Amino acid sequence: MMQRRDFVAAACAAVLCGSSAFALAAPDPKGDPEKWIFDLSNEMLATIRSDEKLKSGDAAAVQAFVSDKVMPSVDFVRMTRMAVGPSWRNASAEQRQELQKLFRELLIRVYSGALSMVSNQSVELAPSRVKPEGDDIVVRTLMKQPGKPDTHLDYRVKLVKGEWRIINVNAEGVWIVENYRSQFAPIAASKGNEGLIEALREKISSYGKK
Amino acid sequence: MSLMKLLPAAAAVALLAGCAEVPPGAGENPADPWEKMNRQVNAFNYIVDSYTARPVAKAYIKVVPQGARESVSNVFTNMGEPANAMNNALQGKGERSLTSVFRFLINTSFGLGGMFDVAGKVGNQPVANEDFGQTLRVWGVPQGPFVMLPFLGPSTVTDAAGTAVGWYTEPLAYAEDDYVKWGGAAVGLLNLRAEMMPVTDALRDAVDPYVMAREGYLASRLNAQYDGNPPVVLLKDEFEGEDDDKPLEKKETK
Repeated sequence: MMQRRDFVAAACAAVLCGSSAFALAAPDPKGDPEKWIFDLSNEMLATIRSDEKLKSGDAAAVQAFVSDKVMPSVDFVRMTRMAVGPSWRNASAEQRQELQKLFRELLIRVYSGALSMVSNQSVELAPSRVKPEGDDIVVRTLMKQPGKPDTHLDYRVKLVKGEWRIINVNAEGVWIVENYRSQFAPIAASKGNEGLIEALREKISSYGKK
Repeated sequence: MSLMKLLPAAAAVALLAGCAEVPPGAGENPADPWEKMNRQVNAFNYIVDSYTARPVAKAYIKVVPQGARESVSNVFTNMGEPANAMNNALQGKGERSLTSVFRFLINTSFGLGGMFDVAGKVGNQPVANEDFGQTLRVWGVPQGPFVMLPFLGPSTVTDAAGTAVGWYTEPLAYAEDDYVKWGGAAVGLLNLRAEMMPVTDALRDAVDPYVMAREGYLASRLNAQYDGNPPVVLLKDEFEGEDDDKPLEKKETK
């Protein structure tokens, strides 16, 4: 409602939008991982903000966004195999491809609803953190939105062949890969990789039917 | 609806839900020994919610403008501040307790009964959430088994006790007028259900909604217990270096 948008909030929003557009450096996956995550997440927010089709969850726009913006920044093979768990060892090359494809579809479905919530958020590195060291680290960020509590978003990033890649995301204390692993691993353990693939296919084919 | 009418209805739904699928190995997870029963309750909740709270909350989101819903949400956040202050104090978190008192005083007065989060916006004092379940944990009470409560959803034995005690730290519990008390409680539940909508929608798309809800609940409670800074345990990649040369084919297969 308009009366909530008092001067302070409006000014803050204007400054935030302005500054994130201004400070938009091209994310450099070979440089400092914290700076890379900072640039990358603000660039993604700016991309979503400026694309109405994407914000409304238009299937083709979301697929294009995921292929062009998200996939190059993540190590998706690693995310999938960590989510599948021990039975990945017995999976054939075709099954591994299929599991990645289905996991990707599932994630797109579950999280594309969040696209519509993108408005004037910006991402900052979490304050008072220890500078992470090594090639497998956690970058802690806060998503800020005027008038709303901060959202904690942590990214586990790993140096893969000289470039940083996101391999897990933690939203308010919940690691995504662990959460899916606790769903997938028992299915794969009792019904095998083919059973897991079947369960994923069945779930995905039910989308849009309710 | 009177209780006498509600009970047979609940029994009928329970029978309908009685066919919830229980995977092999249910109950082997040490955090969830009652998984078999919990899954039945979860199926019951899913059906009840689908026909009651969910459609009402959907309508509320559709009909009531976002700004008005935010004001309602702020009022209930503000009514939770006395409980936050008490539980912060009981946990020995003096500064956070003062924050809760400060927020309650500022938002109740300048924020017109809590409709506006003046303390958060202007005073830069974000809410310091604590509930009695967290206080019990800080006092050393073990979390106890995970339990899916009928109507209320995921909890643990200790959190359930905390929730029961928590009602007595709600200002609404002391309202003299029954319409204010129960009407207020109903609006509070509606507000909560509407706020949960993105989460429950995601659960509907999960391969195993029960496990997703359980793991998400337990992780977020651990996070709350550590005020957002739980110890970091990184999942090990047991296939390190195995398929780094075989990324997903770029070509889209539909």
